[in-house]
Amino acid sequence: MTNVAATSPASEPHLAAPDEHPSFIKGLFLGEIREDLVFPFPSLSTAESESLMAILDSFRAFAADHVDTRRHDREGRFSEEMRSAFHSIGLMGLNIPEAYGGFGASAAVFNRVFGEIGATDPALAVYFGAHQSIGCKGLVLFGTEEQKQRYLPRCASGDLVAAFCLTETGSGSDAQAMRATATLGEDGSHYLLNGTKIWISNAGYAGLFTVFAKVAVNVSGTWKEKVTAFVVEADSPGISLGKIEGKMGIKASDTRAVHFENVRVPVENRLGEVGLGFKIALEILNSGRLGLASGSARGMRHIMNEAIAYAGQREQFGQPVASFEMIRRKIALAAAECYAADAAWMLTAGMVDRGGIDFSLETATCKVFASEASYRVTNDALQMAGGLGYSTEFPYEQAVRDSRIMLIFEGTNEVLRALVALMGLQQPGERLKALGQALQDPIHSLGAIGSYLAGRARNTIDRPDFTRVHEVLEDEARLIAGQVYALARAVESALRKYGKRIIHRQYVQERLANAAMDIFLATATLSRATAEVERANGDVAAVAAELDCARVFSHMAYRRTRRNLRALRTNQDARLDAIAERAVEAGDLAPPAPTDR
Amino acid sequence: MRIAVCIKRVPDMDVKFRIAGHAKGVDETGLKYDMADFDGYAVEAALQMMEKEGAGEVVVVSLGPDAVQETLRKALSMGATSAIQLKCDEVPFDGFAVASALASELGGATYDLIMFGRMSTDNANGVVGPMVAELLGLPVVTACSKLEIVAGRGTARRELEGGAEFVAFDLPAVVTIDEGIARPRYPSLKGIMAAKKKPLATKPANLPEPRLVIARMDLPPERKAGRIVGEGAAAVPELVRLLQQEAKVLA
Repeated sequence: MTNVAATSPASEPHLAAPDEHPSFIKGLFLGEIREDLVFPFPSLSTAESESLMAILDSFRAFAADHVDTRRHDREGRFSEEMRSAFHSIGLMGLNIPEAYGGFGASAAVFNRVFGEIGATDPALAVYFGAHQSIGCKGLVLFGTEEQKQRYLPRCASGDLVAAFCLTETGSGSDAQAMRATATLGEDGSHYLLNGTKIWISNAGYAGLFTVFAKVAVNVSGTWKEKVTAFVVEADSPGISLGKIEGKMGIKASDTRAVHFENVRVPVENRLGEVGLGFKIALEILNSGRLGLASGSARGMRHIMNEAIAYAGQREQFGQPVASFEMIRRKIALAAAECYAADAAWMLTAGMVDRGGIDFSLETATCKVFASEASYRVTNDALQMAGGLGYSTEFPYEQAVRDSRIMLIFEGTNEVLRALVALMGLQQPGERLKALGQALQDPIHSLGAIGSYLAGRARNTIDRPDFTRVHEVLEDEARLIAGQVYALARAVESALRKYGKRIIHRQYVQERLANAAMDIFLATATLSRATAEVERANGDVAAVAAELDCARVFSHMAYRRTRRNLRALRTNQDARLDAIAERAVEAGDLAPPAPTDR
Repeated sequence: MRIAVCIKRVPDMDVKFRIAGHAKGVDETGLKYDMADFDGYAVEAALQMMEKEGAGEVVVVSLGPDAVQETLRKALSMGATSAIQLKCDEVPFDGFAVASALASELGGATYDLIMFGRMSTDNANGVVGPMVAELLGLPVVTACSKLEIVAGRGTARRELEGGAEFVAFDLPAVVTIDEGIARPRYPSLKGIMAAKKKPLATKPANLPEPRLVIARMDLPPERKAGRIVGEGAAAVPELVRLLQQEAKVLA
C-alpha cells in the first residue's frame, strides 16, 4: 500500500487491539494464509520517498562531520557537541506527530532511518531508539492532549531526552514481578513513587522517564496491585542515578540504574488509567521492536560490505579470498538473510502504517530473526577478515560486541519466542476447548461441533495456498503453503497432547514459534520479490538478484520448518531434560573428563 | 535584499563513471544526484546574508527536467524562500544556451544579487555566471570566498596564489562563489517539512539553439601495471638505472 503519513501524519496512534484485529502469524496457527495482510508489498509514495532520501542525506552529512563510532566506543560517551548537532537536525522528533513539533514519520520511514543510524553507530541508534521508540512513545500513543503539549515539543527538539523504565532486578521479561510502587498521596494530588529500575538506556542523558509502577487498587474489598504508567521529570527530587554500567558494546549509550525514592509525581502525569501499565508497556515495546530489526538488518549489511571489500582484494594462493566457496557461501547466506530481515520489517511497518492490524507477533519475529541473523553475519564478517577481524584497529570486533545486545533487550529472544507460540496457540486452543465442552453436551452444542468438523473438513480437503505470489515463485509458494498446513496440524496435536500444560513445554513452544516465524519471513520475501517482478513488468532477468535471495531464503525456511515440526514428534527432549537437570544440580556442565578423575 | 541563486543538479562525483553507448555522455544508471558542490556554498552564503539582514528573500533557480525539483526542494529545505524550475528535457552542454535561458528569467525580476557556484562539478565550464552578467549588463565577481553587502554595495574576497584581493562593486551584481565561504548546512527535518509548502514555480526554459555539443567522451587511459625489478638491496642499482634511463625521473 502507499501511505502518506509523512506528509499528513496520522492523528490516530498506530495501534491495533490484538483481540479485534487480524494477525498474519496468528492465522498461521489456524492454518490460514491471510494474504490480504501481506500483499501487496508496501511501498512509499513518491513524496514520502523523497522526504526519506532528504532525511537520510542530512543524517549522512551530519554523521560524516560528527559521528565517530570508534571514539564513542572508546570513550563510552557522546560529546555534547555531537548530541546538540544531532538534535538540531530534528531527528529526535522523527516519529513525534507534526502537531507536537515532530516530523510525524510513518513506521516505514522511521525504521529505515533507524537502520541508517544503526549502521553508522549502534550506540547512537540506541540513544535515538530509547528516546522515541520507547522513551516518549507512551506519550505519543497514550498521552492526554495536555501531556502531549507539555512534553512532546521538547522531546522533538531533543531538549528533553526520554528513557523507558520498566526492568527491575527481579523483573525483566517477567514484568508482573515488578516491585516499584506508586502510592496515591493523601490529598489525591500526586503519587509517591518508590523503586529501582535497572539497565535504563539514556538514563544519564534523560530529562523525562516513562516509569512503570504498581498502584494498589481496592477491587470489591480486596487490594490489588495494578501496574500503571507514569511520566516523570528527571529533575524531580528523590531521583538518583546509579553509576554508568560498563558494557560489552553500545558503550556510549548511557545505561544505569535509576532510583526513585518518595518521588512526588503529580496525578496529571499518570499515563493512561490505573492498571493499564502492563498493556501500555507491551504496546510500546510491540512497535519499538521494529527499530531493532531494521537497525540489525542495516548493521549486518554495513559490516558485511566491509568484509566483502576486504575479501575482494585480499589474495591467498593467488586468488582473492572472495573467490573461495566457503567465503562465497557466507556472503550469499548473509545476503539472503539480509533480504529476509528487510522484507519482514518493511512488510510489518506497512501493517503498522495501515492500522487495524495486530502486528505484535510480527514485530517480535522481525526482532528475533534480524538480531540473530545480524549477530551471525557480523561474526562471519569478522571471520572473513581473518586476523584483521580480531584487531581493534578494524571495525569488526566492535560490530560483534555492539550487535550482541539486540538478542537481549526489548524482550529476550527466548521470551519473544514463547510469546509468539503462546499467543499463536490461543485461538486454536479456544476452538479446541469449545469443542471439548461441546462434546460433553452434544445435544445442545451441535453448532460448535458442526463448525469444528467443517473447519477440519476444510483443512483436510482445501490446504491453504498462496494466490498472490508471482508464478515464477510458485515452487517456493507451494512449499511454504504446505508448511502452513503442517504447522496447523502440529498445533492441534500439541494442544491435544499437552492441553494447558503447553505453557510449560518450551521445547514445543520454541519449535512452533520457529516454524511460524520462518513461514512469516519466507512469506515476506515472496511478497517483496513478487512486487519487484511486477515492478519490472515480469522481466525476470532484471530482478534475478531479488529472486535468488527470495528463493534461497524460502528453501532454507522450508527446510528448517519441516525439521522443527518433525522434531515435535521425534526428538531427544527427555534426554536433553535429564542432561540439563544433572548439569544444574552438579553445577558442572558435562560428566567429568577421563583426565579429571 | 532579493537574492537569486542558480543551482545545478549533478551526479555524485564519488563514483566510477562509465561512458554511455553513444559516447557523448556518461551512463546514468545507478548514479546519485545532488546539488553541485559550489552551488551549495552559494545557497548557504545567500541564506546567511538573508538571516543576517533579518529580511529579504532567496529564490533558487534551476534549469532542467522535473528531476531538478528535488534539488530545488533541497535548497528550500535548507531555508530558501521560493524556487523556480526552468523546464527543459535536458540541460544543454552549451553554457551560453543555459545563460540565455537564465537571463531571460532573471532579467525580468528585480534581484539585488544573482549568485552561482564558481562552476558546476560535472562539466566544470564556469561560464554561465559571467555570461548571465554579460547578458544582463551587470558587474560580475567570480570565485568569491567571502562576500559582504553593506548599503547596496558589495565587497568580495578572491583568493589568489599567495594572497587575496578585495573587490568592491555596486548592486545589482552577479557573483560566483568558491568553497570556503560557508559550509552548506544540512536540511533539518523541520526544513524538509517546510519545503513541501514553499512555492515552486515551473516555467518553460527559453533556450536558444545550442552552438556547442559534446562530440565524444573518453575515459583516461588505463594505467599499465607496474614492474617489479627485484627484491631487497640487490635490486636498488637496477631500479636507479631504470628510473634514470627509462622513466627519466632521476637525473
